[in-house]
Amino acid sequence: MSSSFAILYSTYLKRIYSTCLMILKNHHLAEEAVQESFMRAYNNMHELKDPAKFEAWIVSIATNCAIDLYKTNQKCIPIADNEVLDYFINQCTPSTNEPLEQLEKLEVSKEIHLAITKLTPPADQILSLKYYWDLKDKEIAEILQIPAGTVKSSLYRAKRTLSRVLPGINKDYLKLTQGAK
Amino acid sequence: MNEEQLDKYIRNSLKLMIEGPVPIDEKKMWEDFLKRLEQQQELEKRKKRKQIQKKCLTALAAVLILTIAPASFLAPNKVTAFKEDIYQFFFRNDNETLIKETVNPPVNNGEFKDITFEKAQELTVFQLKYPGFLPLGLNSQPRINVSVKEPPLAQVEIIFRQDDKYLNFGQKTNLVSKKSNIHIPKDTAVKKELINNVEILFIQKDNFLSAFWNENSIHYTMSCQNLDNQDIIKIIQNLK
Repeated sequence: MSSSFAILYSTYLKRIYSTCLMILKNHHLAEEAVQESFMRAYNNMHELKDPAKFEAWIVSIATNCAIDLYKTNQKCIPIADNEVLDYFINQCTPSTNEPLEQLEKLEVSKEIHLAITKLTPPADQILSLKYYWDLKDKEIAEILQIPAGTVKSSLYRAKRTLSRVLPGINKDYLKLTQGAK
Repeated sequence: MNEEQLDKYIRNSLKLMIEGPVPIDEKKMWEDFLKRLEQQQELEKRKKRKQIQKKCLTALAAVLILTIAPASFLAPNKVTAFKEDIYQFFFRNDNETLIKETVNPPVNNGEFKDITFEKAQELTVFQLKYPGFLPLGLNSQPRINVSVKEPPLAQVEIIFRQDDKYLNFGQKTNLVSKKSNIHIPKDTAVKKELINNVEILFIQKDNFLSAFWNENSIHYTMSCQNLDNQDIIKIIQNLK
């Protein structure tokens, strides 16, 4: 086992875990998906031609692993919904001394976290791949093995769902920003 | 709210959700990962060992087959399967053993004179015998005639003649066993002898000698003139 892989493991472990948890909504399954993803990555490292693309590569492996586990277990293993919801909702905002930044962090309320967590596949997968992992629609379509049109339509529906919970937040946000001025 | 703002909200939320503290023990997970990897590698090693063992056994079996039965496997064999005659050829290419199967061409009734041994073999469904020993003074180039009557019934004559010496070796299919009488004139010697575990009837009068026997439903006759009795026995012993 090369030390460089240990570094890669350590660098991506938490983010890969959270991405899998968003899809699977079960801590144990997410852990399983993480380990399986890194195993596949380690065994198929020779297939990665451009090392700079490791991030997109491991995310695609992890997403696929999570989807496989989701499909296998969605009917037989109870998803620990409440536990996962609490976990994501209560993710604390990193402390910062910048008032504007603090204000910006405030806008990210529990409501939107809850709304994102309640999204179902493939909407939640597409959202995280698009907005967190910065993948293009075409890349997402390839990873999830769905048409690019489905990616766009799922994204549209997911955003519409999220926008319904946002007006209230937006109002608070505007009040706070106006007050700051 | 515009599209840009919404994207910003989603991006920030996901950043917090994914990069926030996670309820996992990094050290423990790494150890678990190493353990899984070790187990997987061990399994692959076992798989490879099993594959090698299988290959060795297959190779050993192939070597045994090729060693034990080279004559029957590597030389063309003829198999008679009920009404159809099937030739099966086993032969080796560079790296593989090939099996080819052909069916006998249909044979019509008729008399076929002065043909080769190979042609005679094609016209008959049984394995023809040929003398492996011939006494001095007999031409080694025989005349071969085949008479086909309602295939697979056929009679084959292999005739050697030189000067006053004569040998006629007949073979015919004897699918239906029947009893028949042989007329034995006066001053004729009759005796039975066991050659190669087969009972052979010898009938001799003056310088003529005939031998009759049945083997595997084939009726054999050997009629000779001016040949030594010991030579005839040797001819029968060395039929191939």
